Amino acid sequence: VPSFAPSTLVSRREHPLTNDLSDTETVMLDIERGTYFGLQHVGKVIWEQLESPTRVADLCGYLLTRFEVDADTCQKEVDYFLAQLLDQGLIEVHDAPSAS
Amino acid sequence: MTHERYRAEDQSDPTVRSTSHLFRAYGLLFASSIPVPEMTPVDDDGVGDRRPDVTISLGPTPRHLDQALTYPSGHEANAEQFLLRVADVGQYLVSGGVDIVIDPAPGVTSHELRVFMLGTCLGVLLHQRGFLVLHASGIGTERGAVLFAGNSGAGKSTLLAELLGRGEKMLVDDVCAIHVGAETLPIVVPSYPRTRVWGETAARLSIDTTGLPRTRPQMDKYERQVPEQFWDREAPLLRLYHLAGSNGSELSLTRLGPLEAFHTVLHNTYRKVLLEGLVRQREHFEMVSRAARASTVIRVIRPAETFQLRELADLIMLDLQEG
Repeated sequence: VPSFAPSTLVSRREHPLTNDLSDTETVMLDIERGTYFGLQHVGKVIWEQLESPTRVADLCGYLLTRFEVDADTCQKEVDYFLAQLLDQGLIEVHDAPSAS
Repeated sequence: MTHERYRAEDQSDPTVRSTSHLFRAYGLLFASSIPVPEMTPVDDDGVGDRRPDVTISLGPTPRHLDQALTYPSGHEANAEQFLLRVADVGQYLVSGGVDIVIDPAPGVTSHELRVFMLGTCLGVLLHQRGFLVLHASGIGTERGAVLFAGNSGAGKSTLLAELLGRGEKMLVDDVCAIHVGAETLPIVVPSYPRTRVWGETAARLSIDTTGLPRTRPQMDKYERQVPEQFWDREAPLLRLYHLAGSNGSELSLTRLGPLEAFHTVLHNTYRKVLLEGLVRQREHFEMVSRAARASTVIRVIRPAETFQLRELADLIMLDLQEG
């Protein structure tokens, strides 16, 4: 799992079709690739935060105010989740993630 | 637009009505130049001024479609049309949700010709008309439609046969069309009174398969007409049971949340791979999302060793009584 530097700026790369299924669940369709994604709970909150370009440090800071989680765990979870989004072509990063 | 074009052709050929066989299925009126004994016949008196919604005829089909997506199977699809090629059976052209043209291969039987017409072609036609089309069987009840989805071999038809044996009425077997409006519950439209049963299931349920046509020549699966046990009305979707797998230790039902319901409806979409070529992905995504929010979707897990058909039917009938 790559690690994202706190200063890395993250934003949504394109705008897939999005539908909220409930307060905590969202589905997306990337029509060009024909792939579907489901986001729930924290994933949905992170996605909503990425509506405008956001620094990883700010994202983690926001999540710490929303969820009962320690900073280390939060950073790891965010790294893991952002790596998945990056892998699926859903986000872009504006400076290179640092290798760890 | 396509409707208008069809009407123009129809008016230029006043004999089309009198030479046609008329049938009803999926809430649509079909005019066909070939008999379709699986569907519910309609006599001219019962039609009145209503024009056919769909025509089925024999004729030449194009070698290729313009600007089409070609699938590894050789099928082609674009936003207006779908071309199906089946070796030794024939070619089928499905256009605009209103027209099916069949170009039979030499020596094909009329039954075999209809298997693909009633399967993939009707499924595509229903996609073209904007229905949510699922690979599912189901019954109609006073409270609504109860559907069973799952992969081929999951037990959809077998469960339906068991429920028919208990006096329930079939709504659909195989290609299931659902109208998903913006404001209302999803509405399942009745198909036609043909169901399928495996030889082994027929023996177990004492269904006589003597003289029944086989689905495919080498298949131990039989086609059965049950007009007296057909639910011929639209029905709001009451439950969608997904016959998921046979790896559990015991029979269990699990009510799914909206996200899992979404994936269940998505993956049980009939010939889902064709949506891209048909340029229906966007509309389909909206319908699946709405259906996932508005429907009760239940995952069925059963033991690997035995089907437990009676126990499964008991469990489902019990579940239906509970709100």
